[in-house]
Amino acid sequence: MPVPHVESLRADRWKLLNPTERLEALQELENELAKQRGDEPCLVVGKNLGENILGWHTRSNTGPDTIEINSELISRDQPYEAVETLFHEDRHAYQVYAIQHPGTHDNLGEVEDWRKNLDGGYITELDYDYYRWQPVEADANQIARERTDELYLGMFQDSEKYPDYRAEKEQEISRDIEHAKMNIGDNYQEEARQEMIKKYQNNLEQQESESEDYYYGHGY
Amino acid sequence: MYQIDKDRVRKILVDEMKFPEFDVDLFLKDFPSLHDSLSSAVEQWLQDRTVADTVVEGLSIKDVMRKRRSHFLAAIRDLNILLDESIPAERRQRFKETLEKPVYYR
Repeated sequence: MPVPHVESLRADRWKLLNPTERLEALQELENELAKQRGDEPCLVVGKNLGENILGWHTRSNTGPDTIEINSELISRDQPYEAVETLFHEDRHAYQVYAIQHPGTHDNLGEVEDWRKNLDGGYITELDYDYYRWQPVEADANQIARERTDELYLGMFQDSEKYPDYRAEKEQEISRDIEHAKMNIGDNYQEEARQEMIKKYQNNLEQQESESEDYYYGHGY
Repeated sequence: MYQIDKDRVRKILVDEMKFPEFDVDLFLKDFPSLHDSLSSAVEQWLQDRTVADTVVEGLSIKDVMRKRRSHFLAAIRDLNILLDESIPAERRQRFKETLEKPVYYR
């Protein structure tokens, strides 16, 4: 799918917008991305998430999912990090949609990994390397990076400020790889995937055992 | 070398700090022996969860915790790598650079 064209996300246009208009531009991008997959868009909100947190995707059973973008990114005069975060969080929405709607995503192995990852196999941040490289996060980071390039290098031909941002992001990825190789080993991404599967299975066995206890406890 | 008491640490991380058991076991599975210079900081943390002002190669435990938004023990493990002379100096330098820049979560 081509990346949607939202004119207000051009760096020179974004700079002139107030925070509400910037949020509206991000919401428009989310609306278009959701339309591409045939899904209801997430509600995009700005929130003070603290220093090192860029955004969150929160699932809801009662209404639209929510994408929270750190307000600090929205207040920046460069749109790149806010947009990349939106792409990242929207990808989590896509992963959920692909799990629920078979045929959405061609790579069935990836969908199966996402299902396990989001259904009990999610590894929290205690160990950053496993968190960063588990399937849903590795995929969302990679897709967000690619789409941000597609938008700013491809569509908007932003050769003024974007190359510096891009270089910084590439260095960030190199640091994440260096850290993961040191702690997990050269095969860090597959190791993180394997641990995710173990956690999923562990969780499943625990649920089955709790359910057996329930039946025995009720005279079955 | 100093070995952390994994059973004691596990109890703190699971019972007191409420981390998921699986994630704690994964974190502790290959937790390395630590350089002796880090032992007093770990002992202090085990006692009362306070973070000592220990500095390694110009980086304090608190610096690493803040920049990487990491747990005390993750920061200790990171700093221990900088003290591990079995790792080539060039690689340790590259690793140090990963600790000097912030990590972002999303």
